[in-house]
Amino acid sequence: MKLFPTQKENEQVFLLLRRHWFTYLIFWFLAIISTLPLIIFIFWWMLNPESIDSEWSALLVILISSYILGLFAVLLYGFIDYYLDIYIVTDRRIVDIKQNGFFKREISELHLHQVQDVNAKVNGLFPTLFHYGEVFIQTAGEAENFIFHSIPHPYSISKTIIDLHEQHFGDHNDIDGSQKECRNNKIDVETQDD
Amino acid sequence: MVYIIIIYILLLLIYFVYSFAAVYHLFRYGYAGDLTRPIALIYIILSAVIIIFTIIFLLGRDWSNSLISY
Repeated sequence: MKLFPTQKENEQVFLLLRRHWFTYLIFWFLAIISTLPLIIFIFWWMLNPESIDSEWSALLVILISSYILGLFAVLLYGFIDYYLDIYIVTDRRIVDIKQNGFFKREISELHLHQVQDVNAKVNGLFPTLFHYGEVFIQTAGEAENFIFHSIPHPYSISKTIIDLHEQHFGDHNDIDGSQKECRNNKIDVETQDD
Repeated sequence: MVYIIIIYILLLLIYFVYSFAAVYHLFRYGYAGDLTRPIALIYIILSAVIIIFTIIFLLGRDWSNSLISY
């Protein structure tokens, strides 16, 4: 079963990362804070239903309903922005899927052999407390550098990417090594013939 | 009050278009076993509850003696 749309056959997914949940929780926290006066008002109104003239109650219900629907819309927008931004690390490549709003979606990918250096950084109070931060992937050549934003456990993620890269290059070195060995053997054979 | 209800209906129309785009993205770009479909369903159910409650409240009122009818 394919885990993401451009996954190739026999491509093994090692990491599927999203931003840390705390970055979306801040969004919820702000939404709840902004709704708190409304919730208090609704409770007060339920306890004192006759305090507001029935003429105005319909208007209030329409306003409250519009406000709550607007809040749902904003929360869903935040969820889409949070949840559809994904970083995928496979045994062959790194895929960065970015969803900006509804009508802008970018998919970038980087082959593991293009990785030159991987750094992780945790900066600030909340990132330190909740163990999330940035992972910078520097690439060789003209390929664009990759940055994983606010991902959980950035140090272990960067180590995993480095391990995969070394594994990838290790295989290449073996191939180079065996080719050299073959060449050396050929030279030896040629020398013996002489 | 009629004007306010018309504005509310227009808001609902915009909300429906927005929700359609949002839910489409959740279904289109979600991955196997993730949270996109349950969240889309929760969003639809909660929105429907709010809209139905509002409509029931508005239809249940006696508008004949309304002072703010226009």
